Amino acid sequence: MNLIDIKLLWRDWKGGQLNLVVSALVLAVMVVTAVSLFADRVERGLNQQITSFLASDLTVRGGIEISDDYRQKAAQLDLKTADLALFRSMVFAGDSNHLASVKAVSHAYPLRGQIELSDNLEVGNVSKRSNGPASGEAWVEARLFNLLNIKIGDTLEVGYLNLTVTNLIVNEPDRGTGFAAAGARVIINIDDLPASQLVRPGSRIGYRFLMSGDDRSIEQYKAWYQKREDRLKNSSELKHFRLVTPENAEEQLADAMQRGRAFLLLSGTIGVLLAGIAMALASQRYASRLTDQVALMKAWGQSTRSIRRSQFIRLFIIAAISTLLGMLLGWFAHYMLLEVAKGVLSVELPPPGSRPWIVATITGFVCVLGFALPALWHLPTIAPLRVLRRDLPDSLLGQGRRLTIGIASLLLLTYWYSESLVTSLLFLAAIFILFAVCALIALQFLKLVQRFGSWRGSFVRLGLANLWRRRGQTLVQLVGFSTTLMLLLVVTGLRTNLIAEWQAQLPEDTPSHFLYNVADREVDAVKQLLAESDVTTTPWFPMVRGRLVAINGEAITRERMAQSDGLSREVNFTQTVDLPVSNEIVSGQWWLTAPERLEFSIEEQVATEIGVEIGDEIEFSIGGIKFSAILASVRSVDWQSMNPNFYVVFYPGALDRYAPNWVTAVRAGDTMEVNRGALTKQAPFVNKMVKQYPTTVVLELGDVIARIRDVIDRVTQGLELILFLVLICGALVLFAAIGVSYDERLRENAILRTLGSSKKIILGALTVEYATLGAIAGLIAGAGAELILFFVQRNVFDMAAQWHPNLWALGFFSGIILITALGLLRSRDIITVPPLQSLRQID
Amino acid sequence: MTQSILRAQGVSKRVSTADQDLTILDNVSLDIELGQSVAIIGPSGAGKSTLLGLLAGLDTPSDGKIWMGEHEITATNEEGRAAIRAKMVGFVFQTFQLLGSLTALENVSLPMELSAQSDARERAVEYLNKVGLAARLTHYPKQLSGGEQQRVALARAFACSPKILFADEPTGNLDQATGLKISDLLFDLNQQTDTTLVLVTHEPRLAQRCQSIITIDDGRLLSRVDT
Repeated sequence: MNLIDIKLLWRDWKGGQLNLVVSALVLAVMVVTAVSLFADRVERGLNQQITSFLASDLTVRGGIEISDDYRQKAAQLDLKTADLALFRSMVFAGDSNHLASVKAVSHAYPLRGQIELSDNLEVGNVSKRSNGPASGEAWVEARLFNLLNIKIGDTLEVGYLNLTVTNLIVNEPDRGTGFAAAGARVIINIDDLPASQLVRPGSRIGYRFLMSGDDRSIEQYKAWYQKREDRLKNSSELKHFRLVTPENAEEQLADAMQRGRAFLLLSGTIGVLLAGIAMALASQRYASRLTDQVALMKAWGQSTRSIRRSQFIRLFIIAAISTLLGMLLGWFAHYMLLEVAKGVLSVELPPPGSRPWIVATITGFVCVLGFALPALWHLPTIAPLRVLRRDLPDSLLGQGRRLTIGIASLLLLTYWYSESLVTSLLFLAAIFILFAVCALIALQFLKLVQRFGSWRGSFVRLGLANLWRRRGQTLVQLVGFSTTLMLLLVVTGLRTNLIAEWQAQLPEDTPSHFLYNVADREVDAVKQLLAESDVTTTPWFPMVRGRLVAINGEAITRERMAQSDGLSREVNFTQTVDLPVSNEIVSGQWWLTAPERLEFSIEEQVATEIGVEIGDEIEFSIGGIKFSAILASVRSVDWQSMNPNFYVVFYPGALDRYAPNWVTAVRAGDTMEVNRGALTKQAPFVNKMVKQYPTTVVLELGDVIARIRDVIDRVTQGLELILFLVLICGALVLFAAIGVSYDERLRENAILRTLGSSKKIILGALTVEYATLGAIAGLIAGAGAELILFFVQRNVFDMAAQWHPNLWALGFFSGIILITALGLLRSRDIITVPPLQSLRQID
Repeated sequence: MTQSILRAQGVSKRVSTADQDLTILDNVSLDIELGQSVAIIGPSGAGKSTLLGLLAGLDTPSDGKIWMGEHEITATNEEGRAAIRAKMVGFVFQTFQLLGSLTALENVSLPMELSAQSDARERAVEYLNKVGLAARLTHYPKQLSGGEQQRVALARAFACSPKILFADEPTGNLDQATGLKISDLLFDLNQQTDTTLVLVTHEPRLAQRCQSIITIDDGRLLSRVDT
């Protein structure tokens, strides 16, 4: 490397010729670094959490004891193992009892993650343990202390066992979130299980066989399991067990993460694209500044090759330093994203892997090669004769070729970000269509403005004429700015909409608790208790679990069962005369009078999955007792409405003889502070409820709702942060585009001022020019955002589309203010430098 | 016997435009001796600068041959010509052609640094002293007057010790008094360094100071007069 290259580069930097190229590059790398670091760490954190959710790397689940071959394979692969049995059972302490969710574990449990325990109710000093309780001990959840009025050291009866309560469970890794985990937790040693005599034929017990080990052994086990699965499919043997892996356990989460990461990176790509445009424009100006220098060097005898080499060295230095700087700033920016997401992510984030750094480095270098180099490519081939004849044309790389190289670079990056060619092609196509549409609309606006300008006086005409005269650059500025502004408006609009939608869906009287498992004979007393506690309820529904066994006299086959979740397991049935709220009839008719034969209504998705139509006769089985009913209607159900919802609803009377449990949603008022382990707030009725009716399960919804609101808020905030960075890229495009015409503007305005134009007129013309640009960009952004929101509201969120006049106003005014301010800032020399100095500066 | 440093034989330059072929130089032959100073004069559009470009090896003729010292520069490619220019040629331009981002000192030392000359800085200081700009080493071109800029350009050209100095209208952008000072400096340095000088000018007084005046018009060499 020649020292002179560095020296010249340093001089170019000091002369301000590289400012824009470097800032655009730094910004592009910063956006990509921040986004990929954030995504990488969150993904790693969640993956770690998923394994601890399972308390293992792999789990075999089943309703019967796990058969030996699964254990033998694990032993053969040298995997660590542990056993679990889960069931619900009444537990007793003195006169008190509670329907607890019992977990019997072997000593090695948990294999991943830790159980957080406390041996002190008052102080709550938490210790972490990686093994289960010893035989004879019971660890219990905090609320059980309250429910059963016990303390550490007391005796707890589980079946025929008497166990000593030794610890309070603060947290357990595989707690789960479903209804099954709703009872207060009691953890005992699995060796005590036989003595409890709770395990009898027909008992509903979930068995789990936990495994952990190195990646290779885990993969081998999975492969072995898959082979066994395939063999089972072809035999008549019933499938009793299921292998749970972190991937399929949290498939949705993993899927969402993958999509989230791709989405974040693709929105970052818009930043890269805009930064790329800014870089290309700024490089074009840089190249024109270098032309004389290169011609001179060639006249002095420098070869094309040595100039090409020097060019590569300079670009390498620019790329390396800018990338490093971008990565550093990206590192800080990712902390800002983490800060925003902090409340949503309760996981501890591990340090990032190497991928984000590689992504950032490659982004930096690809940007230089794809956007800067093409604009500078012709320099080494400049004819030395140019020193004598400045009118010689430059053999610039054609616009078409430069565009192709730019798009190819972008495709390469998006493909790398999204790991899907289709996604990246679709994304780029969408972006370019968006650009093209914006450009077309902008052109029409410019024509309109030009006509308007022709009969306006002095500086207005001058400013508007400038827009039209430089329409190529004007369009680039308009497209860059309007698209970023549009995306920001969309995100802002979405957040407002989503939160408004949530607030509309969850009015003040939104249920705060679900009460279920209320026995038939207890309903009146519970209603009384609730009335005394000053809480209101939604309608009460009887609930019975059962399954569908035949359709039109034909037994449901295993294949058909596999098609629907509603067929393969027991589901909740109810009966009611009125159509439940948040349900709508899609086909058939809701019963108006008592039907002659027993009728039922089914949820629309299940109806489609199992393929039933109005008038079909379906046979049901509840606890082995079978009966038939005619399908009278199909309903759509709003599952997010926080009301009790059911797949199958019968006409009243059908379930009377099956001793249903009752369910309702409760709207409780204020909560009161409680200090019991993880639980900090509780509605006053909850305590009375669980004490007097221990078999009743109370599920709190308040936390869930608050959390969803919080998630929406933080996700949009995170997006806004990224889009804000993207908007800065848009500002750079504006700067760079002004830079392209900078010398021309400088000369024109110097001439105008020499001819007697006042500073005021020139400032006025520039203000008109930029404000018009901002107004057009703002209008396009507002219209585009409205259109995108219209489709998103209708097709994604099933919401009624609505106008957003505030977004139009926001787009319009922020466009004017932003572009005028930035434009004038960039043009300040044009206005302030004396005309003679301006002219000399150009020569 | 005097030694020829620059020789052109039957040199023509034609360019094609949309409607016709234009002959800019037509069958020009000339011989310039080592250490000689030659002025090329003629009206605008006569082909003076084209001839200068061809003689300096910045361009190639359509016909004819050119020798620079031992080298036939018309028989080699651009890379070959670049190598010859690097060894033998210096330039002074009408528009000075200083690099705006470099100081006077850096502008002068740059070509020497590019050819990896170890004493580039010292020589640059020496020549800036010679042109009377010792106090302005760290000034940027835009901080210098036109005359001072051309002095920096002269220092840059002579500091490389070229065998031939090509000057294209060196006083064309300067007022008369400054132009006179610059031409004094040019000829002083030329004599001190024994450089061959080929200059294109409109100025009869500047041309008169050269040992030989070549007049061209309409692409043809009309006369060569030794002064």
